[in-house]
Amino acid sequence: MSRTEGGVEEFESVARAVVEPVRRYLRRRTDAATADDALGEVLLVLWRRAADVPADPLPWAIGVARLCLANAERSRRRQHRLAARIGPALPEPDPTEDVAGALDDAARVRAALATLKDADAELLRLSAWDGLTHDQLAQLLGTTTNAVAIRLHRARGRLRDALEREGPEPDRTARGKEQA
Amino acid sequence: MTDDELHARLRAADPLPDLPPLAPERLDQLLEDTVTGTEAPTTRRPRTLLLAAAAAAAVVVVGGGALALTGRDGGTTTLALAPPDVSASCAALTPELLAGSDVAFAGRVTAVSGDTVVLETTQRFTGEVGDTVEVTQGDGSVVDGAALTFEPGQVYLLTADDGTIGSCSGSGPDSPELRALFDQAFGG
Repeated sequence: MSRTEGGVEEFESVARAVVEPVRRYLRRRTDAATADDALGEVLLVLWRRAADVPADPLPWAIGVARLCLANAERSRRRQHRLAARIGPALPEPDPTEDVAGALDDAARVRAALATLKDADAELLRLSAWDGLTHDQLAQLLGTTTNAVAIRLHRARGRLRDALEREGPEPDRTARGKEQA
Repeated sequence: MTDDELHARLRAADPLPDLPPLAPERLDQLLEDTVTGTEAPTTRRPRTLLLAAAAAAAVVVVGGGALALTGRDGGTTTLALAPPDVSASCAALTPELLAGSDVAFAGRVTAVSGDTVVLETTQRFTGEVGDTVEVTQGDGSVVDGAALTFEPGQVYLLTADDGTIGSCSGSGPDSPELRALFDQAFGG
């Protein structure tokens, strides 16, 4: 593969702009080793497909990261099946749940999220945790900003319902960090 | 609870609010490794990494649907449409990728009734597939707009892995290109 100096500079500029958000996106959803591997893959795709990277590279890069994560989960399922044949099944790790498991508000919100449909929960995570704007979500999902707004509105409604089912909101002063 | 309050609670539930950024020298090394194609000493699975990245490098949209194998009753295999991948970007299909599938078959859509799609199996590439395959469509509340949409009369090439036809499984309408990949993967 031959690239000009300009190509390298362009890649570095794009990569530096997205590497931390993509890294956090991955670490929120999987273990550190899988996240590291996937991050390397995302960077390779950014490098090899530089011509396809849109003006706002973040939604595109997150989309690639999702794919890499899906591939990693797929091969992990294969390994689990193999392990199941030769021994007891390995426990499914939940990288988003604290081991200590104190049922503070954050845990309640995550538990409520887990009861939503994947699409709703992921939309809320992408918005609140990964900080994607409506425009960025629209680019990632291949839809319009209006459609994103409507889906987010509905997903929030479903989360509210789920939280109410979980019980009354605890004393807000007892909660942990308010902002990331 | 207002949208802002809900958003604040969601943000507070971020499992990873304080991840420190990569050290500058580590980032430099990562970017350099990417461009030069050499692996960092800390990388544990260089070959897998490169192969996977090469596959991901040519991104094609295959479809956003995911089908879950929910059961099999005599000659009928039942599949359900699970939530699709949010991203419509899939790795380029390779025969190697397809060959790893548990189940691969060709099916013609004989009926679409409400949420249920019935396919008649026309060819088995690998795995156990009934003569008839039922697919339950999703409820439409999908994030992604690229779900696999079954058309009556159309033949589809489908693969399932671990009971699931993933959104990037290579499943799609029969075409010379896709069929060539299936033939390569499963030896014709």
